Amino acid sequence: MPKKTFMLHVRIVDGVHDRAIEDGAFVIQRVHTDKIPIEDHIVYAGPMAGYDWQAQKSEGDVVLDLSGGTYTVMPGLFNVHAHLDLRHPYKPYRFDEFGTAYRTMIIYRRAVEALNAGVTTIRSTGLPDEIDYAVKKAAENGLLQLPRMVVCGRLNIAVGGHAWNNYISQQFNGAEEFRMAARSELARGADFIKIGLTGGAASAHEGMADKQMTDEEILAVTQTAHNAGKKVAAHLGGDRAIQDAVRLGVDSVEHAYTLSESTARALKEAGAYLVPTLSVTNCSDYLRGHGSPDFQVRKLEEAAAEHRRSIARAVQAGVKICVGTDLLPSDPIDGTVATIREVELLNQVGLPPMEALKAATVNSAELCDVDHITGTLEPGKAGDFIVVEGKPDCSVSDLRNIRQVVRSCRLVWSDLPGLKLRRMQVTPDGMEMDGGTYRKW
Amino acid sequence: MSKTFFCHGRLLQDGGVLEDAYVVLNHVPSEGRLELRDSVEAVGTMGDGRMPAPGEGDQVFDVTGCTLLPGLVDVNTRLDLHKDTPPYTYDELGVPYRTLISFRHASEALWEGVTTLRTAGMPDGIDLALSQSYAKYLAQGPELVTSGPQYIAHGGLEHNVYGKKQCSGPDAFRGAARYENSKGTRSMHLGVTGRPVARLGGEPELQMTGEEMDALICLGHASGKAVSARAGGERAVRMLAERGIDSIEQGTGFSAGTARLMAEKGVRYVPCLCAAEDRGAAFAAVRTARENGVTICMGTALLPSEPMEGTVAAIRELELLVQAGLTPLEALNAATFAGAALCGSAAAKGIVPGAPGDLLVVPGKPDEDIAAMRSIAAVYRHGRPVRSSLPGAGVVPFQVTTVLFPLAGGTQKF
Repeated sequence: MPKKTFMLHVRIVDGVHDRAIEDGAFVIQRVHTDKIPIEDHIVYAGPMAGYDWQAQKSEGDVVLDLSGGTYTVMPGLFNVHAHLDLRHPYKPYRFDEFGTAYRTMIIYRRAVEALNAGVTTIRSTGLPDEIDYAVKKAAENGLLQLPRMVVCGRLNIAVGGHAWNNYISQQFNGAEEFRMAARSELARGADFIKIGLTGGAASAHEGMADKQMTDEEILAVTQTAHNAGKKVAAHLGGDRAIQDAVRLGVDSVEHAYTLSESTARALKEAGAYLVPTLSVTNCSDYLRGHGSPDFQVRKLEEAAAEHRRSIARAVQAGVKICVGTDLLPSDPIDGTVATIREVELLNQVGLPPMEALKAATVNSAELCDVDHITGTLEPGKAGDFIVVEGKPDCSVSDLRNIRQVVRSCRLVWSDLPGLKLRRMQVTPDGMEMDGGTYRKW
Repeated sequence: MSKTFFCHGRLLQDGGVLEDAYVVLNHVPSEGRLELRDSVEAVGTMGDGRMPAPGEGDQVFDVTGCTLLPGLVDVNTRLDLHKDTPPYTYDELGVPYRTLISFRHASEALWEGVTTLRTAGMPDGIDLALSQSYAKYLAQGPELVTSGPQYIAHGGLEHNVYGKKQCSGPDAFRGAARYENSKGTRSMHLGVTGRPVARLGGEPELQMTGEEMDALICLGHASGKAVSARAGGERAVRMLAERGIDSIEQGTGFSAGTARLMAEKGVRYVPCLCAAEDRGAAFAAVRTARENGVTICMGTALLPSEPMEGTVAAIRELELLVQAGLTPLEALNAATFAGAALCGSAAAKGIVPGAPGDLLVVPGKPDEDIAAMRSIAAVYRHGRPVRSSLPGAGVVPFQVTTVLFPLAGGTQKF
């Protein structure tokens, strides 16, 4: 029994157009109640003028008139760079302190926190023990309510390379070993392949721009992934390595602590995506609060100013930018969560508000190869969306005022006039469902 | 600090029912801390003059015509049961997905009113991970009495099911169990007998030696753990009873004399009637146990939430216990006080001041008509509602599935 929900007199940022629809109607349709896959979808997202909603309405449909305030409906947020098992401080050794089963539960909890925070899709950029594949499967077959998951398995690095001391990585040597690594992940169902191409802040004795993989190794990965129609994401700190990576076919540049104008243009020409993760170089208090080692805080503080300038160059060059944090999507920071603060940081380095919203939605959906399903508000799309009080396309900080989160046309929570539903709660009634890394599991 | 009052209900206590009773739950706000200190504050009969006065912000439920009872205890569950178990040993789920499926099944069990469950064998530390998640309030679930993997002899019964610990010899068993117990398991579960063998007069195959049993039982008891055994047949049950096993599960075919020994030694019997292959033999064993004074506990040997006969396994098991000859009150006792005592659960004393506040509200008199258990109106865990259809309860927030997807289905779904 199909049932529609009509959201009337709402502003719409659909991710397709460059301007918001000021007086819009947004309509979703339920197809089944509890069948997998959920086939509920958007049926209309456009101006009120000329749309005869009453003719479309049947008995039992829900009508929400939002003319009493300023509300904007937009696609659900993406966080395309996250490690849901994140734990601070980083250790100078590699150790599985959680075990697979408990790590799975921690990841589950953080995924639910992200969903409550409005993040309807997470691209997991490196998790151990095939946990990301299991979480994706649980989300897809209706076992548990979770965000949409885009997964890659482990972070593949050179021996002793970036994050060798983090349990999420696996170390390889030589083109054939890297090829094997990529093939293994593809066989498990990887949506993309992740490599650690340069140094970073996680390990003590590496420069953030040190190139740690050979061109042959990089090429082995990009060839293998591309032959399977999958993208390659690379942790990339420095300009020279970014140039090489883009030339060798890497599809998404993660971090880019230094990026020259000419490399930014090369990115634009190659159609590569940039995931700046400005959060990483703008979280000293957060890291110190977690007792992070001095070297890590110092490295990131020293990189911060150039990182901002680098991303500003990319914005100028028109590179496609996406939203990722490296922090937990739901990590509390500066009075909001990391995902929303990343959108604010991108805006601060020159990305106009509407472009920043696209970075968090449609651009990220393209990067994740799920743009045919979600990432925009168009008829037929899956209906992952949030409703924000205010005009985030004019002031991105209005994203701090999310009033409704919906995944696959199913409410996660709502605080809209006429439709209240408490946040998704997997803990006892009355206990918090947030906290990110501040909850020490 | 707020309170929840249940007034004019019937309260199931250890030994009988208190009519026209009240129960007051005391809620301590968590204020961002990962702790929950709610408890039962007061219990009594209406008009005894000792009921605290409800204050502003307190919830008061008139539960006239309903029975309040402790949450159910299923002492034998397989949380990772799923649709397709292959006839060979293979980890077809993998640890992460097995963890998530077990979490889902534990959530389903809680939804159905099972607030304490014991895992009768669980591989890869998954029960420990869930138990730790619940203890830290990372997520909500029933009290989990962990057991680690089931211990069986090499090639023993269900050796093809992934996750058994197969050993030969007392030292090997002891070594395996020492390792598992070091992870913090709360109990141990043994698989002792196999299929009935015609040449043994229908007695099941005995798959463990007395020395092996001794090794495991002594090791468990040395650290205060209950040791249970899936075992049937006169010989195996007697051997285990003589050695001080804490419970005999799923097995049948023991004599009245052995039942008397079980009663004398305090060995409980967990018939697992839902899962019984020969229900006639199982009913006979329940009668033998009952007539000879053996304490009976409730266990399904399945998912507590497995759909069957219009209800779920945990409730169906209660009905079958009554069919087998227990009074409804005895069946409820098996599924609450007796099971909680076997598990060493904090809920063993039932709903008394200071108890953790795991309780069910059931319309009708399940102690007279066990079928009343099919329509539980509210489930409370830690003093907080998991679900409730009581008038005025509002929307209860526990939710792990997508809106409109029921938290039910057992192995039928996943």
